[in-house]
Order: sequence, then C-alpha cells, then structure tokens
Amino acid sequence: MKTSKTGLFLMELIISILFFALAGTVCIQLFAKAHMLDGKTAAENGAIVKCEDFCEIYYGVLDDNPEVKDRMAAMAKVTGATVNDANDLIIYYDEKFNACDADVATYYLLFRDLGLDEATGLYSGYAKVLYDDPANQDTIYELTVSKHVPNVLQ
Amino acid sequence: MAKKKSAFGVNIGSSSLLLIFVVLCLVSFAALSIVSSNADFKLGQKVMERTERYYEVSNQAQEAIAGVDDALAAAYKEAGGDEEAYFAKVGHTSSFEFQISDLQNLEISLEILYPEKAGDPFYRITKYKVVTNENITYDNTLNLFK
Repeated sequence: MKTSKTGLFLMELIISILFFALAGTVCIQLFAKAHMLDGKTAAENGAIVKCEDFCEIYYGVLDDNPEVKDRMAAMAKVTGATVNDANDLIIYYDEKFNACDADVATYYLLFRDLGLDEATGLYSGYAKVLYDDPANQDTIYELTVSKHVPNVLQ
Repeated sequence: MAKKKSAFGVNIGSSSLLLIFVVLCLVSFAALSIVSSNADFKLGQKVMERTERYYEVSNQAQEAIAGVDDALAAAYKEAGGDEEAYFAKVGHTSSFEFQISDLQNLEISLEILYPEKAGDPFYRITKYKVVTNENITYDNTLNLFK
C-alpha cells in the first residue's frame, strides 16, 4: 500500500513538473515579448521628445543666424551636441536618453540643416534618432521642420 | 484510528494544488504585463502620429506665411510709398486655419504691418495656436450592470 501511494505521488509530481514547464515556457515568452515591446515604446517615446526638442530649438535659432554654420553652433551651445565636418549636429544618448559619450551610447540623434529652399522660401532641417549599434542602425523616429524667416524692408 | 501520513509528509494532491495556484499567478501576471505594454505601445504610436501630423501642418502653415509675406512685399512695392493704397490692397489682418485632426486645428493670425525703415518686417504673428474644437462630447458613461 505504501509503495503504491509513493508511486502515485511521484507520478503526480512528474505530471506537475511537466505542466509547470509547459505553462512556464508560454508565460516566459509573454514576459519576454512584453519586455521587448516596453523597450521599443521607451525608445520611440524618447526619440519623439528629443526630435521635438531639436526642431523647436531650430525654430528659435533661425531668425538670428542666417548662416548654417552659425545656426549649428548656436544649437550645439544650447543642446550640448557636437558639430561634425558636414555641419550636422550629433548627440549620443544612453538607454534612458541621457546625453553620454559615444562609446557607451545606445542611441544617437542627428540633426541636419537643409538650408533655404528658394522655391518655397522656407528654411528646413530634420532630426532623426537612430540606434547606435553596428548591427542595427535603424531610424527610430524622424521629424522634418520648416520655417519661414520674415522678409524685411531693404 | 489515526490516519497514516505519506512517506514525504505531504498528501497526494497538494503539489497539484500548489501548481494550479502558481500557474494561475504566472498566467495572470504574464497577461497583465503583455496587455499593459501593448496599451503603452499603442499610446506611443498615437503620440508619434500626432507629433508627425502637427509638424506636417506646421510646415504647411509656414509655407502659407511665406506666401503671404511675398505677396506683402510685392504689394508694398506696387503701392510705391502710399500706405493707404497698401492697406487697401492687403488689409490689416490675415488669418488661416489648418486641420491637425478631427478635434484640433492650428489657427494662425497675422497683423499686417507697413514697414517704415530698413529692417522692418511686413507682418507680425499674433496667433499661432492649436485649438481644440468646442463641440466635443466626452463619454462619461460607465458600463454598469443594471
């Protein structure tokens, strides 16, 4: 009698472990998917905010800085970004979107001033946030901004 | 007569009960986390679309302002120093509206100026505002059992 009860208990334990393993696999997959989705959402939300910041700063510096070089220098001063040889602004961010050094960065933002479009009379530029990973350099978010600088009496 | 305990001091069935409880907890938390992150993701997508749309409309508005500014410069030249003729042609204000969504518009008003000296502009922006429609009907109802 004792042997059959122990055997039954062991059988129950084995079935329980199997069922737990199955349920655990499904649940861990769900947790992992939720974690990935959270990471993607956080990256997108951070990218939106940073792109908006740069676009609004571009609005602000346009009136007083007719030259691209001056505009980029003014934006660099405000944002802490660096200006590269192509007159683009670049700033690196860690995973929480705090500015950091390039070697520990998760994302980076690039702002390019497209200058004056003679046809429309608008100055424009775009900001985009990308993953700073050689294997994945996808653009997370990109925002294009245009502004008209008022004509003045000559 | 006292009941005999099993060899491990645990009754048959207790591991199953524990398993059911643990699996229920796991499934509940997994479902909650995926639902929550999915809701956050959808909200993020909405914010993204809204931001994109706002800047799209803002760029259109800037294009319209550029058009007005050019027209004002041309009218000023045509008027040849006659302020009355200038204002008779262009008016004193100019307003336009761009739709951001079904609920919001970007409203812009310009005050037309008559430049008197070099460096003076032809207009001044008096309003550049996102306005929410007044005829929104909020859903304040709750799904309650009656």
